[in-house]
Amino acid sequence: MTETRDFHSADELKKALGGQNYIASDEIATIMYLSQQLRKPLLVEGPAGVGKTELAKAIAGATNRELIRLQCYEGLDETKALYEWEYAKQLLYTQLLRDKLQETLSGTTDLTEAADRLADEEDVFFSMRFLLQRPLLKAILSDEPSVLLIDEIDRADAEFEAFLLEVLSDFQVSIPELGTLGAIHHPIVILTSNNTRELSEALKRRCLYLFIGYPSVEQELSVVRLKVPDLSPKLAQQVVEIVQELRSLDLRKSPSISETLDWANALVTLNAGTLDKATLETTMSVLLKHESDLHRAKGRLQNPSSKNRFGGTDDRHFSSRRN
Amino acid sequence: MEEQVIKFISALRSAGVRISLAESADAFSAIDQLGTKHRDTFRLSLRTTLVKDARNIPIFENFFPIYFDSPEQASLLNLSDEFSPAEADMFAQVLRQFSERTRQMIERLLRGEELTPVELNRLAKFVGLTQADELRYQEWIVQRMKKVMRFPQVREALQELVEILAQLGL
Repeated sequence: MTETRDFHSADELKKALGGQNYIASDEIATIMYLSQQLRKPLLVEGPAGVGKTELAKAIAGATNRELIRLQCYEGLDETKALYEWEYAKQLLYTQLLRDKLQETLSGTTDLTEAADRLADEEDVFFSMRFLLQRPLLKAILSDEPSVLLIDEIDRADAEFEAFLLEVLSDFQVSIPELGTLGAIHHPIVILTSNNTRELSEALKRRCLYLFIGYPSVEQELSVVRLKVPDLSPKLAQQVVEIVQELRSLDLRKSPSISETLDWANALVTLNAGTLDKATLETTMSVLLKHESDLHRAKGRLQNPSSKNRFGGTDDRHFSSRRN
Repeated sequence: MEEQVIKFISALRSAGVRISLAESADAFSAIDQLGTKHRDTFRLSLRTTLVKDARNIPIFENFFPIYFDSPEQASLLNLSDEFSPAEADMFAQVLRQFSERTRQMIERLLRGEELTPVELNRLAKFVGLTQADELRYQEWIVQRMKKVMRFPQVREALQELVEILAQLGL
């Protein structure tokens, strides 16, 4: 078992995240550090694809903790998040132990007595053996310190938030048949939200807040250089510039960093040496997933008033050497 | 420093940022933990505990330099929470100049001339903010005005302004 790690400064944390291939701004590192020091959950909000979930994964790696992930969705309830009884397994055991059960119940005179006798044996069937632990319970009962990632909490409903709040406040859960189970280790808790709805005040009060927006040109370029090293620096620069420009358009879905990386990878796969008009047209759909957005983008990028980036005739602008 | 933080939180609340008692307590814990020496660390300690909505981040960033940066960087009206007599004098002066300019502006309006955006902006600068049109800031402005009104010279200057406006039939 490797030692789990706590950080002594925001700088140390930032470097450790870098070690996990996650480029964190000073802001992200400082706030993450505060979350560790104050032992408060961190709520990370921002558009899709900017690296919120990745932050949680990176911090788990950097601290040598297990990542326990609760993916939220519409209709997520307590059962799916906390625990349920493995009903099928219980039934199976009942069937297989039928003979033994007969023995236990022999000698009882009426139904009530039989039921009482059975109740005495209840613990067998409602024990940890038959408890299906879902992520929240896993995090509570974990022997090792963990990072609990509650992903896309905005997709769950207000009722679930209220339930979550209870769990997050004492990190213990009461299971009627088993009693109150408390956490051995307090997990590092990170919640992410795509901002599709307003979260409850109570939940926000409980957490520290971090907003991650779209990156700057420099930030995005360093991520592309890091994650797609096979793409030439020149091409990487062009890729980032185009994506940044597209974000200024009023698109239905602005490209996120993850889409930038997808596009960069596509260009590497296609062995693209330059970003000429043809390449752009064929690969643009990696970046933009809506027809209307593709239209708008093509319109803007062909606009003569913008920089003359593309065009088969003007090859002076591009170097055709690879890497 | 603690006092400044309390005033700062108060200002944020006036501008419509909802901050609970628990969150202000968190803010103090945070600066206890991380200290006040480094500007950015201090700023983020406050921001992550007090501001839970991305839309309020610009307000936080507007007010932060006013309350925590050196006086030279802050504008006259935002120097300290209480006004000294000297500051009140300056304010009264500005108010008198404003009266003069206001009269001129109104006369021009009456003659059918339009006011330029520059002139309208002057109004905003006068209160010390460049976003006076933001409704959020109104209550904060009102509170500041109340404080400065305690000084007689300010009340006099304001009285003059009111009389001028009355003369012009407003």
